Amino acid sequence: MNDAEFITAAQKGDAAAFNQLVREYQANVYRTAYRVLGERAAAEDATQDAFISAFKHIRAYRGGSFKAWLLRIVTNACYDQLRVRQRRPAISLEASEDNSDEPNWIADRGESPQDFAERRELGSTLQRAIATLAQDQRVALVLADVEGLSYDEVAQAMGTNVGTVKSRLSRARAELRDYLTAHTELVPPRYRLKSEKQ
Amino acid sequence: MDNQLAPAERARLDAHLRECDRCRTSLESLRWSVSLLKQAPVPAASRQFTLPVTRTEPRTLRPSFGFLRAVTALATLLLCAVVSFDLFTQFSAVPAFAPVPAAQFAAPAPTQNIALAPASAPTSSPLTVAPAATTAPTSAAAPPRPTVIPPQAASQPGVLPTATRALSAGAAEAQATAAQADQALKSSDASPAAPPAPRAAITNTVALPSPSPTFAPSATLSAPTATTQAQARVEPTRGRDANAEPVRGVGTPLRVFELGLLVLTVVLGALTIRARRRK
Repeated sequence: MNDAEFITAAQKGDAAAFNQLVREYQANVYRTAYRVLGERAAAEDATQDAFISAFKHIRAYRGGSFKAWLLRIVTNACYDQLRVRQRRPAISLEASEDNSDEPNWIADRGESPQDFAERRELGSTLQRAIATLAQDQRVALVLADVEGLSYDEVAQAMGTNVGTVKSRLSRARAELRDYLTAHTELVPPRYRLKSEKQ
Repeated sequence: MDNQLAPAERARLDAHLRECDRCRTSLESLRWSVSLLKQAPVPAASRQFTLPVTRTEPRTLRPSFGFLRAVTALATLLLCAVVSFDLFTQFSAVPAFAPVPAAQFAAPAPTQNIALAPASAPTSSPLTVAPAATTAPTSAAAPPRPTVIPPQAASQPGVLPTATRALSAGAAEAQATAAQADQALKSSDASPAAPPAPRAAITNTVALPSPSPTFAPSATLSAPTATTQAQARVEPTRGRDANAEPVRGVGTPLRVFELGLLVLTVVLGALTIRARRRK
């Protein structure tokens, strides 16, 4: 069965069919939530809320990119989490992401421990860079450059127009670049810009 | 960055980049930062996000906006068709020419009908009379004439169906005969044996056959008066009468159906509007 068949079955109330879609898209949805929120626990909550909401409103899906439709739901869930965080700021107990005992960092097969450490360090640095961006810029950057959505899909997910998406995306990329070039020491050597390497 | 430029703009940009180091460096750094973002790993989630099938909430069947819109349109069309049919049948009804039932011709004064011939006697002429008895002086009576039974009489019980004839032809003659009989009664002494002829209008001398419980003992035939004649004519019923189809009131099945259909259409329209807002 392909996605269309799973979607059709899910629209008729088939939870098992919807779970097939969850298994296929949960990595994308969780990654988006993590990049936007910056915390694993919050990202898991937002992801679960997004899939529950998606199942409740599966009949509202009228075709098009199902991935974009899901990411729109998780974007709204992330906005809800950010609003709650702004009202009740809390310090995450998982602030330290250098804990190598953390099982969440999955090493690739054949990857040396050094490479694994450098990649994990890169992830942390990028997350800090993203955290400096405004919420709208952050969402636009993650949806376009991490998840590969088109301008139209990003606009649909964010509930805005293409022109606004281009503007936010341009500023987000520029600020990300500025942060990374300003904190080159946080970027592992093999990931640095060639000109920097030189 | 995203290959969204038109070919002409792309060519112009490439030409500029070949000459401008600053812009070229800026573009390269932007592409580098985006590539890092794509390469950067994300901590894996600690759990799966599949929904528990057993604990899945039963989804309420909520009709879609398109379905509600179609059903509302269908109900509206049906309502218009039913109302149009109702109005058409009401205003296009032609006056009904209903024959006045025979019961209306029943005269207030009971008149006894005369069977001119016994039922058992098959006669070619239904108006055969027997000269056994006469209710009026035969001398003064006009020669027996075929007696006709008025239309209303034909429907009276006991009247033989073989002894009916339209009254209009003999109405004038009957009146004249009655006048003559009346004169005769006044001038001559009534025989004691003869029963006094009723002063009621006697149109014809009628010879009764032997008394039979089937027939009336006295041969009286009510003269076809102008009133009964008028009644005998088939009158057009203007408008509606009690025997015609009653006027459609509010409680008729069609009106009830129309009202129910109207309510249904309104409800469906409200649901459609709400579904559209929810959409």
